[in-house]
Amino acid sequence: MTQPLQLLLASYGDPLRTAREAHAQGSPVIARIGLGIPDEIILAAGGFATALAPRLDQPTPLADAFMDPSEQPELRSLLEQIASSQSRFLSLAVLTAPYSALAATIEDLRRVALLPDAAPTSYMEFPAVRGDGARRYAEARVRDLASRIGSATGQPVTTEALRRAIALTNRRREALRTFMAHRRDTAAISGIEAFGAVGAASFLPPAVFTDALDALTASLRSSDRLHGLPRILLVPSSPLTHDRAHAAIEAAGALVIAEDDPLGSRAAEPAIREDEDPMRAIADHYLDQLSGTRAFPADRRLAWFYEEAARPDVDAVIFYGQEPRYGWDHPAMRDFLDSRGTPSTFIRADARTADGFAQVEAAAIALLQTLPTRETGTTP
Amino acid sequence: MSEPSAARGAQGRARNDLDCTPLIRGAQKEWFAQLREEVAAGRPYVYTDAYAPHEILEAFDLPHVINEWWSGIVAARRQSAYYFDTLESQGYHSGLERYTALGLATVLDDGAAEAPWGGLPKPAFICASAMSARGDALARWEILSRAWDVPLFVAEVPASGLPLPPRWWEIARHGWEQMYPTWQLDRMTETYWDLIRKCEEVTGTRFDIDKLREVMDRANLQQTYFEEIRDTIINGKSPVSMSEQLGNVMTIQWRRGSEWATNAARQFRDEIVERAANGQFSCPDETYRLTWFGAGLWQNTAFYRAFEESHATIFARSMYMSIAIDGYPRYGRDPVRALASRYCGIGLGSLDWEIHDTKRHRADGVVTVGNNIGGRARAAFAEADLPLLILDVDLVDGRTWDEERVMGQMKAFIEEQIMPRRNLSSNNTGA
Repeated sequence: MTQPLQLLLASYGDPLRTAREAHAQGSPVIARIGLGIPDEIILAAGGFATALAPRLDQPTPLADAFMDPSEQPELRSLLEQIASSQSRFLSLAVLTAPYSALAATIEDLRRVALLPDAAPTSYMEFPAVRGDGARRYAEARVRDLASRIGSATGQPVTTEALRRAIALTNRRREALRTFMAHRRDTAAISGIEAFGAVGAASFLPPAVFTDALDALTASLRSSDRLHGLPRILLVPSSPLTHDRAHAAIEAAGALVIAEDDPLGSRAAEPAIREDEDPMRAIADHYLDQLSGTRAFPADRRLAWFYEEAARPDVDAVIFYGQEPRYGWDHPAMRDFLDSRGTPSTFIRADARTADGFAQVEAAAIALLQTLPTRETGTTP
Repeated sequence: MSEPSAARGAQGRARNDLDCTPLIRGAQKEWFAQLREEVAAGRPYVYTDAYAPHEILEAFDLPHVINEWWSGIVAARRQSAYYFDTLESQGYHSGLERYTALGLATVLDDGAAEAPWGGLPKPAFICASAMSARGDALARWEILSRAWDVPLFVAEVPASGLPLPPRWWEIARHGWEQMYPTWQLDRMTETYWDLIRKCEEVTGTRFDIDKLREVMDRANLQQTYFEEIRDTIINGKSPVSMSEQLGNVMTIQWRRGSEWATNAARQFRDEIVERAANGQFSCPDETYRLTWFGAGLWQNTAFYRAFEESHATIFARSMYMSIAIDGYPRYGRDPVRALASRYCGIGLGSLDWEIHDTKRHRADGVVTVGNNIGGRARAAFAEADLPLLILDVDLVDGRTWDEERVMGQMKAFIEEQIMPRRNLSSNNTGA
């Protein structure tokens, strides 16, 4: 394993380590919970931006007092992380969709003094619909968020600081686009490693991440072993905050070459415009990039899939339904694949559990058995 | 696929006691039949959902059919099993939201079954509310929009991430401006003005804000009639069964703001008050009271009366009438903004309200189904010392009904958790 990959995977494996170090050195740390919270604003306010993701392998003694065992484990974990003393290094935790109810619950419990150690929290979301009104509203929400984050860090957000932050994150976006193209074209890195490397973007300072990813991209060399594996496009029901689905599919003998996930291949997004008012540019960008089940109309959810699934290097598609209620779009997506002769399967399981992992692996094996053998050493 | 005529699920029918019930239900059926005729002749109507501002549609004289109401109709006719089979045969798996999917199912069906009341006619457009916490619903609405080939208007509710103020039900009617962040109210109001422009386009008429005020006045008045009914149920034995209460309240509520709805609510109130005065109760031996938590068990509303004779136990409270009373009324000079405030946070799911209202109804315990309840609600009921039974059935899917198991669970719950508590309480007070 190369040094850049080691650095990126170490960050992905211990996501809050860098944030705690930044806090120890005096930086205010702002956590994002959910996707679509502009880290440009955190950077411009002099903060360290990190992400809090559900950790199902950790106990949740505090959350257990307020949520009974039937509650979604993701919510229990997030409540635990925000509300317990382990969150003391956070100056602010910003939540977004789909966590509005969790944000309200935290405020509700805080109101009655039941969460004395909880980090300060704030909520913001971009609209799911398009239109001029949505754009104006999104910009107003961005300005409001800037004010709240500036208060939390003690450093008001200026236009110049925002421009510098946008330049930093745009360089990161460029590095991600280059990496994703190499990942797919060269078959030089496993899906689980690629996903972990890209995932480190949520936890490392932009410049550190970008340099490491660029170095990783430069080191990628085509692998005969990976070339011979069936190539899978992974379509998860929600952004994946873990690599277990990748691990199960690749344990079955496949290579995940891309995932329909803002934390994976869809991170290779366009740059934020640098030639207009930065608040407006940030609002427009995040509004345009909104994806996932709440994006409307359908092309915002599905255009990426239709384009990527049609590429000739996709041997099969795996729909990974971790959320039980995911699937309204699936029959249309499946029909599209059927019309192109691309095999697919829909797995309703949670790969984070032992049983779920086994189910995903077994379904992947069954799918792979239907595919013709890929010729080793040929570049698609 | 199973035969449409082979109804599966619970087979019992609820007995009705009130004279107004067949009138209210008959009028609704007649209204729907008339709607079908008028739509066939070219009149536009709107297919919408429970969280949309129906008063705006009413102010345009735009008839509207509510998705949740239609689900209830399909389920009550014991056709849900057939329609869920239909959905699954088309690839929409069984884990998807069911309560709100029956409208789509009746439209996607190939016509093998006779849809309730002749089926849904094609609307002029769909008006769907959207909340970020339930993003999966948008795809379902888009499928319906494509199936009908009609426009979809999405009324997005911006989330604030904030809880409602303590005892919000005491201030919501007049003090709503203080209950929500101004930016949230502004955005919701702007969205409703977009809906108004859509209605102007569809009807070819200009919006009349005074007409909306009249509609709002009638809707507010209707809720005061419901409040008198609730007070009557709280203050004595219940003159109305839950199955009858649910059907009447929701039939009226889905047409709130119309003159028919106001009159029907008054008629309902009059009969309840009269029955209480005359000592006519749904369960004369009523001893124990339960709350039904969350959306109603529409696949089998007869269930709510099943323990009156055997256990002197009634269901006294559900969210439907109480949220109509506490969450819907809005007074104020700007009717569009007042309406917008209702949907910025209507109070459903607010656990302090649920528990307050449950205790106000003197309920001894709570019953619901798994899909209705999350961990916080379970914890809140436990903290409030309210026994809770969670049934493993679906609200509308008749395929999930197991009569023997459900009745056994209920019997055990009442006998082992409800009755002993009351006896203990009586002993403690020396009664």
